Amino acid sequence: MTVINLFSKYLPTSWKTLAMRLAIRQSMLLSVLILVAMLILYWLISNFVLVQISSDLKYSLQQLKYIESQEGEKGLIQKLDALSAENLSSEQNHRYYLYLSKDNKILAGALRHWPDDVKTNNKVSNILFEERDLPKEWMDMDEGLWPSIATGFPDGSKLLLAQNIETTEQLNDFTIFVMISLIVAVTLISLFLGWIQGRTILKKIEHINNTARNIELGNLHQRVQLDNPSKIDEFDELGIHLNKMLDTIERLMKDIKQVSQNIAHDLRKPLTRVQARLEGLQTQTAISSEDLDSSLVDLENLNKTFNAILQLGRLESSRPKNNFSTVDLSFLCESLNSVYREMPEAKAILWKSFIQKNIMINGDRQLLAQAIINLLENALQYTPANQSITFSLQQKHSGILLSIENTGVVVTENQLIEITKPFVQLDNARSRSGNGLGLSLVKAIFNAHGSDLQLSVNDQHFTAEAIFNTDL
Amino acid sequence: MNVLIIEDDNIAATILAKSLQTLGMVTQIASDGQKALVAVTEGSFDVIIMDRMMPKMNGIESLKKMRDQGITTPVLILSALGEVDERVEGLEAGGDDYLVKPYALSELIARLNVLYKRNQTIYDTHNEWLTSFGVKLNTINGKVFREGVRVHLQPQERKLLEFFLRHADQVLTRKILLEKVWDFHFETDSNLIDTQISRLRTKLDKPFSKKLIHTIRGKGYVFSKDISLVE
Repeated sequence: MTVINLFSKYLPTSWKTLAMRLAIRQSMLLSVLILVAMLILYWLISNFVLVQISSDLKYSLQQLKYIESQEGEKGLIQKLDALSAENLSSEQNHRYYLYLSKDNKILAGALRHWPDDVKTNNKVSNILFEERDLPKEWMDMDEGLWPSIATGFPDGSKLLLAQNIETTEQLNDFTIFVMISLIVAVTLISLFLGWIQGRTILKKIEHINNTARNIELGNLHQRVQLDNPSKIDEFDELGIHLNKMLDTIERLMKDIKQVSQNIAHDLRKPLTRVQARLEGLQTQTAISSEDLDSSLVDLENLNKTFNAILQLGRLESSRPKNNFSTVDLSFLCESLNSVYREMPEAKAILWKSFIQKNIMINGDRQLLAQAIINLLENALQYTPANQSITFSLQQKHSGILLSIENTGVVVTENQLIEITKPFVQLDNARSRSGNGLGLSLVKAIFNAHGSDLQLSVNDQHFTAEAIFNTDL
Repeated sequence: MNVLIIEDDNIAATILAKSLQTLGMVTQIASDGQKALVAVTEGSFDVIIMDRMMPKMNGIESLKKMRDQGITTPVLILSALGEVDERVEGLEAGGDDYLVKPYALSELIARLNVLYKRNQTIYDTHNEWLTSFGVKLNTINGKVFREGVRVHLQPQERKLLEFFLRHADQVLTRKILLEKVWDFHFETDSNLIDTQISRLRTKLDKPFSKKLIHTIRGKGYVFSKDISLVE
């Protein structure tokens, strides 16, 4: 694989991509595997042939030895001559013999000389036949290693059998040729296929890359193009997820922009009023305490809004878990309930409460109290006379259920999502006090406690609730 | 009242000092934690107003040193740092009260008065019965009597009354009461305290001829026999 890395310097850019590298690596690996498989096959075939030759030689020798023992020297010479004649007539698989007497006189066989390496041990071994050993008619033949077997007879004579393996070698040469051709072909074909595969993947990724580049340049509306919606592959899926992610990011950015504008608006409004009043006071001889008072109220509200924004920011960016301790939620709710039901605004309202005792929660008492007060204040503010408010705290299977319900509320489903966003106040609330951060804060506080503020409305029956995990 | 103002913002310190002087208080300004330590050993103060973030030595460090030296003067920490952690840190260092900037002057003055008076009445807290203007509250069993008549109060109302008794004749803001009675340290527009006061009045004031709980518009509430004696 380092070879690829080495060459990658000189390859075109598209070849340096991971997709291409993987495809090439895969085809290389395939070629190597095929090469190994073929080498094993080659080795097995040649070995098989050699084993065949070897056992054939052994068998022949046995037969010749048998002839010698039965018919003696003459019988063997006759047989060998017959075999040599047969040998000459046959086209291939030549076998050569050499029958030497005790004093090394050639008794029979076409070989002219007994090679030095030959041992009369009845075992097949590869012997190098030199030119002087070979029969005359084979003088032009290359010398070579031939499988041979030799034996000695009791009378001191000895017999050598050697097999010409020229045809076997030809077969081997042919096999090697076929192997090399095959490997080259397979490598080329698999490289081509790999290249096609890589290109297909690159094309797919290129869509996503182009989109990303466009977004980098600030074009946030850009989305990944999807080829065929009916055939969705994993790249299309990636594209779909990226598109969804981009939708969310774009929406959040829009929200942030909206919130910043709202912050600016909500802070500027009182600042403008204070400035105008102070400038007015500058021109007057007598200072009106009414102007001063309302300026101070404006400043105080400004400070409250500012603090609420800060708190919201802190809650949303970090979890205040290190301030958590066991809070007696029942006691807190009951204490608040006992005061709230006595509030002047509550007099005309039917106030109901179901607060279960001894419900403990791991949380921040300050934050929880702030959230509950916010919800109670909201309920008081938006419940008309003769309607009802129900404040309940119960241990359920799913966890601790805190809920504040009120009736006679005119809110639509769509408005529900809006009202937890910072600074969003419904039109009928704009004129009243408050900065529109209340429900955002409640939501952030519940989130910090591993819960969420759930709002629902059903036939003017408005419910704000949260379920807390007991094992928090 | 002798007040030491420890504040590195010169303008803020001067304005505060002037405001306090118009109310008859004697003020001295120290511009950092080190100077504050010197001032505290040289003079005697009834209350210390301490900023947190200052050059050379910060407020928390300076406060810890004062407490180590055995100075028990009540300290009100006045800081722009208002998170729960920071408040806890300030009180653990030996602060007696914590007010976050920006603040209303009336709020600060009410708190200074609470700290100052607390200093004078500190020895009375071991008394089982808190008594003031004919109202008796038993701090152990919580029984309340006014002019010998038993008054039944809810726990939170009793807490409110106890704080009133301990700080009779002092203007107590809603913020102070929310902190001391409810232990709520957050901003709220809730009428929680006002509603509680109105209930306490129904039980404690209404059946009797003399009104003890007075509203001071724009400032807070006073528990007093005679409102003209306050301020």
